[in-house]
Amino acid sequence: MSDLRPGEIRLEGVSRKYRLLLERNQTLKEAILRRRRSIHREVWALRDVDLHIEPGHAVGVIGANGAGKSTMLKLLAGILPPNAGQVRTGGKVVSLLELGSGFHPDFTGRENVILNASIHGMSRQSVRARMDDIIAFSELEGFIDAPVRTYSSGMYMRLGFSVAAELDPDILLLDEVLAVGDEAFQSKCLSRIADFQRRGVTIVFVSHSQWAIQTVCDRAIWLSGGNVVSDGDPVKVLDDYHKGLATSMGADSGAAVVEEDHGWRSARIVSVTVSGDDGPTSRLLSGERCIVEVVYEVNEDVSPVTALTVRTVDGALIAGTDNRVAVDQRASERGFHRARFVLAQLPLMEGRFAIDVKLEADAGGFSFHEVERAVEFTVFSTGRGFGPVAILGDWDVAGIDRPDAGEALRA
Amino acid sequence: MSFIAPHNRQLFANLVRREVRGRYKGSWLGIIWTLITPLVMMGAYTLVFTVVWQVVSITHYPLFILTGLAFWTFLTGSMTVAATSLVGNADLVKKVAFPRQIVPLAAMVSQGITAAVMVAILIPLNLWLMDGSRLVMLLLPLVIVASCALVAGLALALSVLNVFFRDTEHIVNALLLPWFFLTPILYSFDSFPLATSHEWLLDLLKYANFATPFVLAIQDTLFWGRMPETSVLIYIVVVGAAVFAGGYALFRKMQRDLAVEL
Repeated sequence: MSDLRPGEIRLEGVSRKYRLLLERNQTLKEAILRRRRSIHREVWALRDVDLHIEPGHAVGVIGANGAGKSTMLKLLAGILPPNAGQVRTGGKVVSLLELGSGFHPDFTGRENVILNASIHGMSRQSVRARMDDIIAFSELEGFIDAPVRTYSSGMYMRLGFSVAAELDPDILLLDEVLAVGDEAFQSKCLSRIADFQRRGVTIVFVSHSQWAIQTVCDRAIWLSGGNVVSDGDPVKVLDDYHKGLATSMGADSGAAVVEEDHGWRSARIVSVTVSGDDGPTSRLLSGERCIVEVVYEVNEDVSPVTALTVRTVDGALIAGTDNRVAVDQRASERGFHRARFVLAQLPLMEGRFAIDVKLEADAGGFSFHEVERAVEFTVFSTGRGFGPVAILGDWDVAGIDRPDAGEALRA
Repeated sequence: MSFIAPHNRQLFANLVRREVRGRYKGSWLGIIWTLITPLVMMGAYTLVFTVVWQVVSITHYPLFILTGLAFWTFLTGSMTVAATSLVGNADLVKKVAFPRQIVPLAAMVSQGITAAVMVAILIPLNLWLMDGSRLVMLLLPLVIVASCALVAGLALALSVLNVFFRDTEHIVNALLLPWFFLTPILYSFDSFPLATSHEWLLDLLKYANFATPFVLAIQDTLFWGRMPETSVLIYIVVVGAAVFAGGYALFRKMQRDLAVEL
């Protein structure tokens, strides 16, 4: 490792495979008694990747889910060894693959800071010296001596990032860590990342957020199927990426191309896209602006109604909407059309959701084309509450004299 | 513990603290709680074997049981806690790079604290009440080091095995009770009815069960105040070293793919 400068990264012919278990876990009993091996299939997460990153660069890694992004970070962090090739990193590597990993729910915020800092290799003395800064950065002064199980997920992330902000790495690995937290805190995190950058720390950053990559990175890498497809200037790589998406949209990009079937249809759904503030995505924030776009083709003189049904990933109905009443906005000419449904604030809580899309006739419940689970997406939430739907409201509790008959709760 | 680099000692200490604190969250009795189980066992067995069913004639029988239990709870407590330690800390293992042996070893040390407290109570009591030579207590450090090596080797091996074969912990748990009765904790081989007529059986019980020589060694040095048999001393040193080396080698071999398997 000595020939690498601090902050330098070199990957040479790196491959990493996974075993995809097709059955349940192997048991010791079976392994010993029947000498039976697990049934599995091998999947290459990264294939023969060469990469050289100069110290002080900030590199964004983009790609669809399963493209090998997280695997690359885990290899760089030393969490996983490569199956072939060589991963070399210079200097001290700090990986933030998950904020607050290793927090103990029953420990107070302060105790978890000490624990988490030691996980990342910070000495006791320097944690002590930096404790006030860490707490100040997290803005959790009032809660720092409460057990973290009482924290909201946003507070949890904030504390996790605050520890990270005080670390002193040569290489910093970030995996989608800015996906949660409120906007103000997110920009605070980004400015801290910019500080790291100014200090010459090499940053490797996995994100689905185009904005974050363009703000932070001076180089981007597009991974697809375990290979580096495009590498270079972030604007160019993001452009390549989006062009690539448009030709082969996977369900996980938040966009789906509906396969053409053989039958002839009066109207046909072409593609369905979910977008957040940063364009097409499969990850949305609760309360974020959200747009569902359906592109369809009309082949006859019909004026199809576009209907959307939102379900939880296990199929429970949440809500539905269609543009039946908006007659004047519905296209009736032949050719391609785009129907957009804009939600100012996404009223869903954390979870995975799917949208069924239907092109219906104006009357009679006949549908020209319907696609179940046309797109799936994940919602992240920082708020409190539970269930799939975010109900927005304010609580108010006040003392009253005495409940009269109307207010008394009947048992 | 040379295989834990200095800058990771802090993490090690913090994980032990987390393990201990996590188990008795918010309880002011804290570490005292860990002593209650062995003390209750000691009381129950004393009642059964010396009062109800008068079969044991060992003076200071409660201390005898407690001496054996100090080793036994350390051994089996560490084995069960270590077996689930990596699986239980999956989020940490999958997301942060650090020497993974820290996790099962921290689990073991958290159990070792209980045993250390028991031994700390037993030493003055036995010094006061013991009939034999107090000088053999000087051998205690050797017995403790050998025991720690044995337990560490088992903890390391079981922790990785349980990641790849999730039924390991259940198999271990099922074996504990019969194993306990085959180990001379409640009884002594001295009063064994078959000892004179079937010496081979005695030898089998003594050496086939690797826990037995360790229990005999700690009972001899801490309770009886007599020199352990040379064969027992050699056994615990060799087996302790071998199990540690084997467990550590297995751990190193299997830990490569931990982050994928968890």
